[in-house]
Formats: sequence, structure tokens, C-alpha cells
Amino acid sequence: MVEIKNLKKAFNSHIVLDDVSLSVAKGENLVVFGRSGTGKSVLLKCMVRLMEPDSGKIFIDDKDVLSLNIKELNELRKQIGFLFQSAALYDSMSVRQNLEFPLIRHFNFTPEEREQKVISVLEKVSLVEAIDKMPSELSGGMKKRIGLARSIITEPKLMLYDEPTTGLDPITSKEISYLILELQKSLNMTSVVVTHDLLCAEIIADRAIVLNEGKVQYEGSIPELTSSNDPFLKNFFSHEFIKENNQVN
Amino acid sequence: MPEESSGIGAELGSMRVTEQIDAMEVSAVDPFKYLVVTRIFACTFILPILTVYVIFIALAGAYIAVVLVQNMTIEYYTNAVLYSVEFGDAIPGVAKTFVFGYIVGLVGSYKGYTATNGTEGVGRASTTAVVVSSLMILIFDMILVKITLWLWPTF
Repeated sequence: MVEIKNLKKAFNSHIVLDDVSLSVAKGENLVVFGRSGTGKSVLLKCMVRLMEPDSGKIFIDDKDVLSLNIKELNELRKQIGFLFQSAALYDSMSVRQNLEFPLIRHFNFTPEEREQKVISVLEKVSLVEAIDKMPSELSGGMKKRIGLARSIITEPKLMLYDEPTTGLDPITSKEISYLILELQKSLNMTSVVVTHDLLCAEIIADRAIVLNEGKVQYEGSIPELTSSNDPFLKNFFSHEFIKENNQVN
Repeated sequence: MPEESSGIGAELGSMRVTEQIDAMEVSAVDPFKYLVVTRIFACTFILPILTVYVIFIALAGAYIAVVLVQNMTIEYYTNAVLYSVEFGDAIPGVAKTFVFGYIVGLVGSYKGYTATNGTEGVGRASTTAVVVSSLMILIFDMILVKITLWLWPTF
């Protein structure tokens, strides 16, 4: 479904991604770990060309993303959902208008069909009562859920999550993680999840990679990575565990 | 007028730094067309309409003032206004506002759309939008007056 080869991205002299290669199979959930500033979000943004990489290849559904023209790219983007760290809800629109936005722009649904779809995704994220609220009236967890609902309303084949549980309390974080897993199973989506949250990764991940110094340095299942004797991984995951435990306490 | 440019700069700048514009782009909607073109179009055509509206408000205000002070009739007032105001007073003045509206929309949208560096960037976009659009309106006003006088020397 996704194949990235030798991807490089630098900001001036600061190299963020240095020869990153990875692949994600159809229906797989890949979690991307890494310290802050190692280019995890940059990797996601390069995949949808919100940022242009300096070199390398990105294939999504066998399409060479970097060689697509804007029309072809937008056709591909219609099959990709992106949940931003801040949820990025349009703050001048109500929840209903936020959810209807991609439907109005890309599909010829009647108002009744749109309403039905909006209610259906809001039921999936358990927020039907928020349909007429403005984003400023929602809590952080609610914003994430609505952001998720907006991303999945077009039933994308590929979902990209940029730190979906950051800034949420452990209980909401766990709820959102299970919600992501449930949605992925029910809609049979492929997912790439950038996160620092080990609990979230344990719930979601089929496989995980760890980015370090601009490269994919480690790859495996969560138990393999967390039980590794590698000094970096030991340090990285023990720190993450401490952070998780502190949050719970 | 320039404060409208500042408003557009702040709104689009805020959308940029909170990733709303990225979200729009990634959902295959062209944010430039949806957010920028519409604002420039609206400013270009709304400003002349507002100018005409304000001219009529001013004339109505003047009528109320002279009626209270001098007990003038509406016929006399209308005739006096029509006698004093010439074609050349109204048309170039209103026509110029198409250009001013375009400048307001363009500068505000550009500054907001290209904002960076978080909330500090939003503030900078808003401030520079009002400064640049004020300056450009002054410069273009001078140029347009010169063009008007060159085309119609009797004005």
C-alpha cells in the first residue's frame, strides 16, 4: 500500500530525514516512534506532499506520489485521511459543517444523504450531541474525535495519524486508541501512526519502527522493541514507560 | 479599509499556524481558491458598493443637518446637490475603490496565507498587512489621480 525509498529532507543544513525507507502492507497499522525532532511528522507530511522531500521515492497504491500533477495528487488525497496533532478543525465552521466540507466538495450527495453520513460518523466517535457545536466549545479529546470523524467520513483507504493522543489524559487517550483500532478494522484501512504514546502503540500497532538520526534504525513488533537489549531502545522505552506511569499516577 | 486587510491577515494567519490550511489541502480542496481568491474577489467588489452606500448615507446626513438648521426643502436640497456634484466627482472616486479593495484583499490574504512562527507570525501578518496595504493605497491613489487627470484633464 505504501512504499518509501531513500527519502531525504533537510531544512537548510539540518538534515531531518536521511535515507528513510519503509513499507506498509494493505490493512497494516504501522507505528512510527522517535524522539522529538527526528522527522516523524515531516515523514507524514511528505507522504501527502504537504512538504516536498529533497530526494527519494514515495509510492501509495503503486502511484509515484512525487511525480503526480496537482489534479492526480488531489485524486490520491481523496483516498487518504490525515488526523493532525491539533485536530485542525475549521474554527469558523460548526462540527456539522466541518464534517460536511469534504462531502460537499467531492461528492454529489443530497442534503439528506450528507446528514445521514455525518450522523453515522458522529455515532462512531460517540459525539452525536456535538453536531451543532463550534470547535471552540469542544474539549481537546472531543476535538480529536471530531477530527477523526472528519478524516474517515470519506472512507479513505489510508489513514495518517500525527500524534493522535498527545495532550490527552490517559483514559481519553486509551479510548481514542481503541477507537482508531475499531475504525481501522471496520473500514479495513491501512494506517501510519506517529506517536510517543506507548500505550496507544500497544493497542494499535501491528508493527513499529523507530526513527533516529534521520534513519529507520529499529523495526519490529512492540514486544520485540520494548524487550530489546539495545541501549538506545532500552533508554527510549523506559523513558516512555516512566512518562506513561507518571501520567496515570 | 486597511484594517480589513489586517483582519484577513489575522484570520488566514491563524488558519495557517493551526494547520487548518494544511487540513484543507490534504482533503484535496485547493485552499488558495477557497480562501484567497474568494476574499480578494469579495473585497474588490464590496468596497465600491460600500463607497456608494457611504456616499448616500453622507448625503442623507447632510440633508438632515440642513433641514434642522436652515429649514430647507428636499427639492431644493436635491437640486443643490445635483447642481454641485459633477460626473467627475463621483465616478473616478468610486472606480478607484475597486483597486483599493483588490489591494486590501491581496495584501491581507498574502500576509496571512504565508504566515509562519505560530501566534507571533499571526501578529506580524496582521500588522504588516495593515502597514503595507495603507502604503499601497496611498501610492495607488496618487497614481490613479494622475491617470484620471491625464485621461480627463477637465476633472
